This record gives sequence, structure tokens and C-alpha cells, in this order.
Amino acid sequence: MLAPAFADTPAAWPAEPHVSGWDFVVVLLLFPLGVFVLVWLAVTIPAFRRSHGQASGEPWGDRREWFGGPRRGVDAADEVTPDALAASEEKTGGASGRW
Amino acid sequence: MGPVAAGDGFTPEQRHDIDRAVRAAETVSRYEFSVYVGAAEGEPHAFAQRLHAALVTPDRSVLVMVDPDAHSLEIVTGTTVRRVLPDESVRLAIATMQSTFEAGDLAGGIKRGVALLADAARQPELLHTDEP
Repeated sequence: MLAPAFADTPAAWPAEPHVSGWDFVVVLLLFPLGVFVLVWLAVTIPAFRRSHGQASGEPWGDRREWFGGPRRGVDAADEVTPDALAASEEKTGGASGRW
Repeated sequence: MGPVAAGDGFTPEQRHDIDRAVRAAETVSRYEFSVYVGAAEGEPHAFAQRLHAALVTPDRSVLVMVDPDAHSLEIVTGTTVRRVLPDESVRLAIATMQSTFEAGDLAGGIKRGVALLADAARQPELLHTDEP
């Protein structure tokens, strides 16, 4: 004869602590929500503070950036001899402008 | 009035874009491109000439010098480049860069100028006329 099996909590197990409705809300809703807010702030704040880059109207200051220049940078220009510079100026082309 | 704080400088993305534009220009034109952004020491044209002369192969190089604080722009072309990149084409690139700079886009103006110079210096493909 078939019958459903029943089993009660073993008497040796400790009694289950009572979980109130407030505890339920804190653990399952407020705690995950707090973690979510912390992660969102950690991602968003650096993005807000990140530089927007140099605009042409802003002061540039003492920075020097040379793309495709010699490894020694501007120091290499200091070693150009006056004769070499004069010879170069005669043959080079180009143009100038201001804004 | 106290000193005006300097701007933020180029972002890593802007630096990467300018570097990529320089490499693309070199690939397109087969000449060397170099972009200096910073204060000129002394007269801008003379300083740009010195920078150009300091390059590894100045005859085959184009130097773009931008002084954001002095609002000055200099482009120097080497002897060999000048044959395919006349000064009139350089002036057109400068006009484009000026208008972009005036709109407040420093990195964008540099990229556009370098691309225009490279296109102007692009050498036509040679046809193999010796083949029957």
C-alpha cells in the first residue's frame, strides 16, 4: 500500500530563529539595493570627474607633446647647429597661421 | 588677478586619436609626420624650423606645430615632401585647422589638418607603362 512519507524536524536540531518581516526586507531588499547603489556610485563618480580634454580656448601651460618626434624630445632641437638650420630653412616649405 | 589654471591637456583617447592620425597619414603618403603641441621658444616660425631640422629625416617630414596659448600654428614641409605638397595645399590645411580650433576642438583640428596634409601629399600610383 502506497502512502506519502512524512518527516518532522529532528528533535536534535536547534530551534529555527524567528525571522520578522523587517528582517526579511533588510536582508532580501535593502542589503542588495545598498550594494547596487555602491557599485553604481563607484562606476559613475570617476566618469563624472574624468577630464573632458583640452579645448583650444583653455590655457595649455608648460606641457609639451610631440607626436612622432625624436626620442629625446625638444632637447634634440637644441642640438641643431645654426648652419644646419640655415641650410634647412632655405629648402623647406610650409605656411603659418593664427586663430 | 591670479594666474589662470591650465586646461586638462589631452585625454588618453585624444592622444591615441592624434597618434593614430599621424600613423595613418604616414601610411597614406609614405612621408613622415610629426605634431608638436606646446609653447614655442622664441619666434614660432623659427622654433618650428628647429623642430623640423631635429627630425630623423627632415627632407621627407612634415612638422605641424601648434602653440595653444599663443594661438599660433606652423607647418613645415621638407625638401622632398614639398615637391608633392605645395604651400598652397598647406595653407588650405591651415585654414581648416584654424576653423576647427576656433570652434574649441584642439585635438579634432590637429587630426583634420594631418589628414588633409596626408591626402594632399598622397602620391599617385604609378602605372607600369613598360608592360605591353
